[in-house]
Amino acid sequence: MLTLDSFQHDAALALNDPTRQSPQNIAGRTIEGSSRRFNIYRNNRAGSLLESLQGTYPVLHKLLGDDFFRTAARQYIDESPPSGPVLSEYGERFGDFIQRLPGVSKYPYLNDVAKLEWQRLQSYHAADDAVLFPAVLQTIEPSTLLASRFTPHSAAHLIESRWAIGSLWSSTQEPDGSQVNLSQAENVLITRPQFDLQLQLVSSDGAMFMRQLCNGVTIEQAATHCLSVNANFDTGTHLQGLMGMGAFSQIIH
Amino acid sequence: MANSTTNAALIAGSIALAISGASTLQTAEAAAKEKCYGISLAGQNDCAAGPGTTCAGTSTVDYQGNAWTLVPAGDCLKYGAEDQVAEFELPEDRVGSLEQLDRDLPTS
Repeated sequence: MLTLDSFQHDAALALNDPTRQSPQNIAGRTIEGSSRRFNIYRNNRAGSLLESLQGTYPVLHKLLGDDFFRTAARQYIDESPPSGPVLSEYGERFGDFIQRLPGVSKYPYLNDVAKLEWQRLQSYHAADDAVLFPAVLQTIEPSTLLASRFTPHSAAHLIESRWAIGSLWSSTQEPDGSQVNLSQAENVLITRPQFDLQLQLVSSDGAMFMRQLCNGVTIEQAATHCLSVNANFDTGTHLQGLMGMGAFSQIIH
Repeated sequence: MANSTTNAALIAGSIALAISGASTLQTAEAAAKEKCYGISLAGQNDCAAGPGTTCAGTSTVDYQGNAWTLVPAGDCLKYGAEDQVAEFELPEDRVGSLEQLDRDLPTS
């Protein structure tokens, strides 16, 4: 006997796999007609996922070109269908997938570009934490401050890359973007202090400090580590800089 | 011990110095811009290429069967081109990817 459950199961399998027969028991004027009609759903599914990937990875789309992107996306959709219904959570491993394709090894930065795009989307949808601005530092006793820890802002995310992915991303936002020296390593900090995403390049010192603080150590421990790596590390500048961008939401004494 | 005290003093002093200038704390934006290189943020855009440009121009082949022998469309990847280190160099010609496509096709 046909149950709703088994019908949905069959229909879902057939939607995801065009080589399968369309489910039995679907109505159409003719048998062939019902199969053709079912293909409309298949196409809608593939089309919406393709558009979703394109919306998530506009820079990758631009860099790869429409044909390559669409072909790769179709393959990815077949191999890694969504595990949930939320489109903004679909496609996290698309960059890995792209990077593994033959012919792409010459462009080793693409996966990092994809990570940047993916994280922009996640940061966009992250919780609306209040931002801890640098002015709060003036209200805390120095000894207390040194022993304090930060909670990273929900939308703050640091991407450290061997390539100039921040500059590359930026250049693609303009119709005639300038040439980018890709071999320059860049650290990109994504934040969303209010409603709009912000991308900032941070120095290797700033990135190291951010990484330390996000590990949950105290300001003193984080700064001590950075000073051991670079004796000229400037704690105040980087603390203020990171806070000013909206990297943290809370300070815990 | 003396070393860690020195460090603590150094760190505290550095923070105190950074926050002593009240003007630098006025707005988050000011602080951010002062300390970092901004990357311009604009709306996401699609492949800018329309008819007649390279992105669209490569679509003369049905790629479905042999997709994975492709290289990315050359001109879309103008960023790695020419003056970059060898690793980034695109095939000599900007239409190189199409030529490579022919070469790399499986001989089925």
